Amino acid sequence: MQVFSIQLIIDYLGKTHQYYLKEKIPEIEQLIDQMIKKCYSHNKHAHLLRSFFKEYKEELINHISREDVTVFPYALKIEDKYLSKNQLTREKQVSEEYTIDSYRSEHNNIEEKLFDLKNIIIKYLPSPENQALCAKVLSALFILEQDMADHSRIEDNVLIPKIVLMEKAVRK
Amino acid sequence: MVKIKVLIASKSYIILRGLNFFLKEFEEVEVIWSNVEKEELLSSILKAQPDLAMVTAEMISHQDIPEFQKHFPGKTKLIFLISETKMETSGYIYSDQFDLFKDKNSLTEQFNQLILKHLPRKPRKGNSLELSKREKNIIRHIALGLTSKEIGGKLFISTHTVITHRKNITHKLGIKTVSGQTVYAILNGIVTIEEIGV
Repeated sequence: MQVFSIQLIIDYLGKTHQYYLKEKIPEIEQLIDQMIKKCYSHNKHAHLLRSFFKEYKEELINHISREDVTVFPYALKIEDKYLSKNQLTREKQVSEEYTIDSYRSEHNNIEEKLFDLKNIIIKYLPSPENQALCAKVLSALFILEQDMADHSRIEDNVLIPKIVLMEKAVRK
Repeated sequence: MVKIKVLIASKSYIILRGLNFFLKEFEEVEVIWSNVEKEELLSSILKAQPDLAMVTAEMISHQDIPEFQKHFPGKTKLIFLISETKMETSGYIYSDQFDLFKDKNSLTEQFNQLILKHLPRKPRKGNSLELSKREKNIIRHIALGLTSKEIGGKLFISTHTVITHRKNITHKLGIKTVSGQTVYAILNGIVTIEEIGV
């Protein structure tokens, strides 16, 4: 995948971001609401799942918007510089305050919350009154997790190495 | 090797002999079989101190189980010898049971399960998935929003120790984040929502 342009990769990543925010997350949120009502109607603490997921959602939104607002434009700029042979503009515009390194470590945290949510549902809530619904929620979570793992893998193993290389070239 | 002591008690000669024969194939098992009367069962368990006491239903009535278990020496586990057909009618499913009316493979499987469940080979400590008292106390403070350093100060232990406890908690629960652990603490009554003020 190293041959794909950064433009293309970012286009893809940006679209999956929208897919998460506009489709997947609201869908799961609804499922969780239903689950709280139908699976744990007697459990007075089940609503904590909602707040937990909300917290997760906020973290995800923050993370995504940081990528959309800072990381991706930065990546595009670097690619631009890298491709343009114009030395003058190159030196002027490369900002020193940001490097892709600072972004590298961010992914884990987001994954952890999703992992916890699954475990709490599976291990620490009493067996649900409506098993089918509960299974639906869990499979949605598993799929989301898998999907995001693929997503981060592209960011970490394709996008970032590419940018690091270009950074080096540009900053010389 | 430390042997697993198994006491078998039943009125049925066939069951006594049969089970004894079956269990002899397990190297690690030592069978004590007694054709005691109902009244003597408790005293013979106290005397033999077996790891498992496998008994048929006529030796103890179900209503007496809680009472009976109270008197048990700490390490003996009571296992009911049943036949599936019989249990269905009684409507009472006792969790530790051993179904006699099975072929040899499923009997072996059942027995291995029992051993696994009741006689963990590895030392309990650090292996059990239950939180210790200390860990519960720590997760409580985590849920209340304290940092490792603050918790250490409060409990008079070093920050480093708190961090070790937290690692163990994460490992035992399979929950990594603070908010996840908070949810766990609330679900398990270690802390109340009011205390946290969510």
